[in-house]
Amino acid sequence: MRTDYRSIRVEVADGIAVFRIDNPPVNQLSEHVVRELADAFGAAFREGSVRAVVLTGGGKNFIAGADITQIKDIRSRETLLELLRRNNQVLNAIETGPKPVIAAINGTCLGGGLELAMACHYRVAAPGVDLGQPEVQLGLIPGAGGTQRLPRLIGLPNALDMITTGKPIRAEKALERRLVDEIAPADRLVEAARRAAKAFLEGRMSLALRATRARYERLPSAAEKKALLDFARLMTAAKAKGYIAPFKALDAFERGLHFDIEPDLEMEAELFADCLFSDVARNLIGIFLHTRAAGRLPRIEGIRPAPVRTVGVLGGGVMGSGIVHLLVNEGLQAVLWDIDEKALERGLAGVRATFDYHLKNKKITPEALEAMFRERLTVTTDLSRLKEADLLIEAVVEDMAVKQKLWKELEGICRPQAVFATNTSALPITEMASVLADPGRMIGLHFFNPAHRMQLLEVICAGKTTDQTLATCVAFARAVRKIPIVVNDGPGFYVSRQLSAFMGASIFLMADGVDPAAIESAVVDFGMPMGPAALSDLTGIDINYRVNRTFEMRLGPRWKVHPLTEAIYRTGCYGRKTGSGYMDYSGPQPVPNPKVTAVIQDYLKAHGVAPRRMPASEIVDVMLAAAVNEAAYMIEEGICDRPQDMDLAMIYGAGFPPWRGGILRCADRWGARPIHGLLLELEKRYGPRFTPARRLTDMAREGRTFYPEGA
Amino acid sequence: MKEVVIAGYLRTALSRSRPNEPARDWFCRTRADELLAKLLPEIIRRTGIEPREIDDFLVGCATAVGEQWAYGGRIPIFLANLPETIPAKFVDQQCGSSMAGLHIGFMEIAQDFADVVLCAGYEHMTRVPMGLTNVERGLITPNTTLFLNPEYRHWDMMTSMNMGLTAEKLAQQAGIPREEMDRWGARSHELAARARREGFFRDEILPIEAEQEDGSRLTVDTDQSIREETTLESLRELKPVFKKDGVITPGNASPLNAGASAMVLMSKETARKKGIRPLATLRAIGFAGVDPTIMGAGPVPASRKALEKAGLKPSDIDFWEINEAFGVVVLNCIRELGIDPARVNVMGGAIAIGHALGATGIRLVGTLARILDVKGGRFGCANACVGGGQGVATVIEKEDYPW
Repeated sequence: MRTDYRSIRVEVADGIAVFRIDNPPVNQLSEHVVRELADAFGAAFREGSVRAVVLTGGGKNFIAGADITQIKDIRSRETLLELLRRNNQVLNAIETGPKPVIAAINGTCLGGGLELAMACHYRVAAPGVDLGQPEVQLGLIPGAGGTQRLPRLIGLPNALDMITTGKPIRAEKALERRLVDEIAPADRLVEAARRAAKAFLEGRMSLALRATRARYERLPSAAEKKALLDFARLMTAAKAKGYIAPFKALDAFERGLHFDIEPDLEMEAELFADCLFSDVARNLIGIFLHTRAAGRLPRIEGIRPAPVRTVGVLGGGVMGSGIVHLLVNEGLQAVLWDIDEKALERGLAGVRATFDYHLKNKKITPEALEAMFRERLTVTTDLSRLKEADLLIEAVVEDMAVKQKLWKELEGICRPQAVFATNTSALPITEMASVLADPGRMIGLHFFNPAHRMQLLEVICAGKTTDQTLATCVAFARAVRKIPIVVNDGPGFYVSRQLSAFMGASIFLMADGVDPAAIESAVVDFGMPMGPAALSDLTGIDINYRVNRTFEMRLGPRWKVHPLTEAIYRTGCYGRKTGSGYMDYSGPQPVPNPKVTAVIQDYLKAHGVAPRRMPASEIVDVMLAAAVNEAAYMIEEGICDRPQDMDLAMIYGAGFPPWRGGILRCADRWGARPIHGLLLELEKRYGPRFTPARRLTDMAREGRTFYPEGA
Repeated sequence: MKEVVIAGYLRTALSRSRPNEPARDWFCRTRADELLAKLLPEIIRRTGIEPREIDDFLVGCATAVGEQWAYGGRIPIFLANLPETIPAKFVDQQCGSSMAGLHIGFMEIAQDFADVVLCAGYEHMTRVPMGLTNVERGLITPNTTLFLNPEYRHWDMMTSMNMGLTAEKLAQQAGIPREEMDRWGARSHELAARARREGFFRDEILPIEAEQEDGSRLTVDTDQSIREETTLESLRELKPVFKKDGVITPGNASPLNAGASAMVLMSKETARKKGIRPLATLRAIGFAGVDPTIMGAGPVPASRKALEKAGLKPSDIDFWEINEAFGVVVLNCIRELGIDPARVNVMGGAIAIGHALGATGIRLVGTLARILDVKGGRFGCANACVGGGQGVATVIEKEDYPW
């Protein structure tokens, strides 16, 4: 048979054809691969010399999924349905074909990959490989039979869990659930698949009985199905908020799972189309693609990043210990420095504490942890031990003089190509770098707490940071599996300032008589992990106050501290750390703190403000308008310029609801004109914090959007 | 020994199972345990007992894998929301399962360890197909050495685990020609169709509303396999299914079915006290093992044992219910025991009515008791062949119950 395919390597031996999918980098099921598969299977089924087919992947993946870039821009429902129909035809032809097809799952098997594997008659997997239907994470559902074949193989309760959460399972679990029939060592996988093919050919296994569509022994009865789906709907409603795909998946189960799979596949395709053409899916697909591209800036294209093997961490506080955790866990050498033995001891204890969760959940054994520390972690009070470091990350006390002194000293110790990174969250980095002979080596690496868990890494270029320094840090971020968002130096950089603008708008509403509880629930319902009061109590009302002061100092009167903020700060209730803030945490359940409530009431009385009922949507609009406006100011000031990165930063760094796409995505859908209009109104009502940025005014006039492709 | 009576009997209609075309089974979207759960409260109500009076629950099923696994018999109790005080046992004697349940219940009451026992059986041969399919899907894994090692060759497991082949072998050994079997098949449909027309089954079938493949709901109150139009000529045209040049066809073998059955046993004393009029009195039970490659011969020694214990001869029996797993099983039993064929399966047999394996034992005994009542007879014997080479039999007597 034909062997000259672009993405399938074909070998025939002993009557068994082995199709090896080879579509780098991750073996996506791109359109041309599907076309070639259709052709190759057609030929194999026709050709007398081929009696069975083994389907496997080249490289690390079996198939990592469909190529989302090929479907994301489809705008016609008919075009999409036609594409899905063609895919289904290919899979159906395999499933109902005259010859056994064995999937030899050599690596990651996700989305369309798993759907293809489920259309085969037998599945052998290598140990530890992941199998899953992650479509909901992109706002989609499986579109090539996943919702109909998976329940047949593993039962509805299991399938429901996998498809509505998108979480993959390991081969071992898949064997238990009978999603795969056998596990074989990676180097003998194809051999095992050939053995299975022979079992079919010798009549020891039956093609008709093995076909997934013919298997209904795990399909639920009508009563079970109703009970399961009613329950799942309640559970999903509690978790899913704005996500629609999990509900569409439930619809696919409810309307499908007939004994005849064909109409169910068409129904699934329709539901897939509903998802793809939703804003939620567009947002999530956008985030997925932008996340892959994060940090790939034109300014560092072609620059070879310097290798980072040893990282010095200065200061073993909360941030420092989280960073050390991250480094050793990702296989880098970490040198933790602190001022004296006592501080060092505390730091080391802090690092250990970050592994408590892993130990408790048996993700690592105590022995392995000790071995890891022995191999990868050095602790010292001697700065000269940092001499070999490729990168230094400073997380000492937030005091410009202390930091500058430390950097000066290190400049004399470290190699000239070592990168100096500060984890400051507030101090101007350009100023910090000014004491160095080579300020180009300095950059900000703003980790979020806890550093080993939060995915975002805000990379801040100071005035003189070189492209080489930036390139090295972006590569470092990728190496430790962080999402690098590159911005320029400015007060609060991007994330802190953006979040302050968004959440900080709530004080104007409170001062206007809006119930703080109504604000909290409006923001939480919008999709944020918590409301402004809860966030303040967590980060510290005093900290927020000082940040606000800094903004006022550096950004001018627009950021003047609100008198109510001032009054609340003066209660001395700074949040959880002092036992009370907006809420009182001394009881089993937090309740509104009477002190703060009294301060707000006094303020309202003094200013003659009556309580004001404001719909949740209006509350969110005010806060969002403030956030959009601040983003426009930051673009104007050159803090940042890539809307996709700004949105990613808020999603990964501040928990902005991904399905909404981000602040600027929301803004584009809302429209610059109405936002500008609202801001003018709010400016009149609340003052200069809401004065529209020049850029936003221009956008409103010209009908432009933040994203170049529009809303 | 206490006397034990049948105080109640109820079953679902038997749908026709088609593992290859599941949607055509009227019960395709209803599990067997759900069928049983509908039956249990109703038989309790109709018998006139309180659920808390039940001392034991015995449920039989031949393929207790997948969704038919019953947690030792507790799942039907839970599904029917019966009191937790009812203990349960799951009984597997293959096609004799629910008759074996009756046997256990009989002994429990006779020996005065229980007073009221609820027996049941279920099987869904679409949702849980029998035999090889389950091997293929890894749901059952019979020991392969039985098939491969020389010391086991005499068991001939390839035949022993294929009911059709055992029937072929019995027909050959007993010298029973296909024509005779086809005649029996046609008779079965004719008698069952007539019994249905005359409303005989109405009193033993609980109508069940069941969701169909298209989402519609169907009230299932009649056996799906009984065919009015079956004639001997039509059966003669059918091809053998188990071996080339064989004699066993779909026309002289039972179909695949889904359904559930239930029966209440109690001491005669209690029935009298409660004023419950029994259907019949259990007289004796019998069970026997035979060569698994001719498992259809099982009813002969099993019936002999039961008759002997009851002190009866075959000729004393007024009506017989012999499970028509295959026509040849009935014909062989008639010949071996010297039975008058006119007294056998007078309302049709499993070839027409159906054979939902685990539910069959109770169906046979219950239908037999009702035949004694309707046709006016004293003694009855029900028996069944059992895959793996066994037979089970039960002798009952219709008495006057003067209360």
